[in-house]
Amino acid sequence: MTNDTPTGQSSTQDPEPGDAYDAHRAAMTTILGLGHLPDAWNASVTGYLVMAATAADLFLAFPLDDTYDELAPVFRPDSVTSEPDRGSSNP
Amino acid sequence: MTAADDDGVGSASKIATAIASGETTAVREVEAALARLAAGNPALGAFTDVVADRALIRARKLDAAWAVRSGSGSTPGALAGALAGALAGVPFAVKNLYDIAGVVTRAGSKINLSNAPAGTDATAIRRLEEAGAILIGACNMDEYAYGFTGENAHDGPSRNPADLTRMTGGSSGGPAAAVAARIVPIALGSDTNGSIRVPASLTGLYGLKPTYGRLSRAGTFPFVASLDHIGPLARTLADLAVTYDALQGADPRDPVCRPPRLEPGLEPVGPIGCGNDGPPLRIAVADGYFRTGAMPNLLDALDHAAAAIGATTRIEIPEAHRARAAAFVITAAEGGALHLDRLRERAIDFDPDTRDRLIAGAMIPAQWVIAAQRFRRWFAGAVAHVFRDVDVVLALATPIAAPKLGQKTFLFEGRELPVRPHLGLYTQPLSFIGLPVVTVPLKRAAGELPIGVQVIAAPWNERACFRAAAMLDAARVTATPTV
Repeated sequence: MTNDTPTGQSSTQDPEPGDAYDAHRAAMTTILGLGHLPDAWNASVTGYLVMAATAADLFLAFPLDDTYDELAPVFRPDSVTSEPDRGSSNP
Repeated sequence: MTAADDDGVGSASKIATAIASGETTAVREVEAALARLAAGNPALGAFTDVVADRALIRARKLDAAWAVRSGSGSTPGALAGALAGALAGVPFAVKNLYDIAGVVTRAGSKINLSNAPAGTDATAIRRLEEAGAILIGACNMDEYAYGFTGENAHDGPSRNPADLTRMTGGSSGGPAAAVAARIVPIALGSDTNGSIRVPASLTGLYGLKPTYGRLSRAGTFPFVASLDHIGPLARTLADLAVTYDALQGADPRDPVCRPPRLEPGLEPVGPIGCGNDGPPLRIAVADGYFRTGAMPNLLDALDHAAAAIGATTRIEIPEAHRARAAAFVITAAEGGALHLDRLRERAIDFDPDTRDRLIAGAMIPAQWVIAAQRFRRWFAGAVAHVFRDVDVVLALATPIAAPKLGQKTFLFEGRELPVRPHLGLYTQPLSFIGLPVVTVPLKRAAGELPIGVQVIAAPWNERACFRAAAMLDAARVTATPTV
């Protein structure tokens, strides 16, 4: 298993298979309905999880303010194509 | 005779011109391309599907329409446009994640072979055919586009025409092999994290990853919806530009394809390709992350090319290493979510390397993905500041030249990194925020493997990419073939 980050830097807190990420993987295979994974797959999946965790360490450490962010589609003025029908037949 | 160069195959521009002047015919060009495919593909592994009948039928229609027009007759409407198109009679290929009517869209997988054939062509194919081009087949790729090697457990690897023992790079490896081996002058790929730019670099081609939302992805098999782009590969800058022009236009079938305007790519390239059609470009070389770990001789090639066009300043793209990490996590999570049903039902039918990455991606905590998306917005704003001071940034497309087929790791800053997820570490931070990038092949000495430079601009400013690429061509620091 590799603990390389995407940038080639080494994490100082790399977990190893058999600890938290193995437990996470075991729980998630059940929750996601993936069934029983063969041992070889388990080791490989845990390795990729650790790789992702090490990557996440990099941006989770970046300070961002606790403000609203644009994570959903936004209705901008130019996306409105017509005025709603206000019921001209209704006096 | 065909519109061939001394080396055997004409550029798209040359073929279209030769057909217009009556020097050759569409049937002749298509037959020649199919013959090159039959001869070269067993060694290259570039194509997985050939649509010879479709191609020849279309070529005959074009030639017949041309004969009618030459005789002052009237040409049927749709064919009239194709005849007048900039790509009239030009054979092309697509990565096998593009829908081709009547063909199953493999996306590099075994699983998708159980699907019904596509009912219609992808928008991009339709647009190239409206410009006169003729599709001859679909090309090999990393399974579900999740890899940078061009190796495929089901179809075998695509092989690099510069050295058949080496990788093309991926995931658009087959299209790159088809163009670099001169089977076709142009091909279409897709780029989520670098899948056009990495193979363009390793095989010595021009490649365009446009601004996110510029070109329609409708009718292509998705990978990571918030990162997926499509774009062309070509042997010449003019061919890249003319193909890009033919692909442009909004498309309601792709919810993000709403470009603010059409923006001709060929215009700044021009017939002689000097790029001097506007105010001087401010061009800098990316420092820091984008030089870390690269092979010194590749950095020398980049710096030589940059100096040749007066780009002597260095700029830093801030926090690029975090951007790459965030792209890595979003890719895994979105990819895992997309394929979850297939992982549940047919896990054994995946390429094992793809499968295990996707399973891990499906298990990524939501907190990481949300944080990555929030960082993505911050990063886009920070990079926007960079483009207040410069118009174009140059950076290597890959830290190394083409690895050997089957090679699992490469040396990066004294440590071994896995090839499959890491070859694109210079491309990934840029597609993360949808920047337009033209990859340009740098001139190499005899015996040296190809390498490409990324020409990067602000969102929607493909024009600046093409201008700077044309300047590199004019400075004769590119590996442009004579056409």
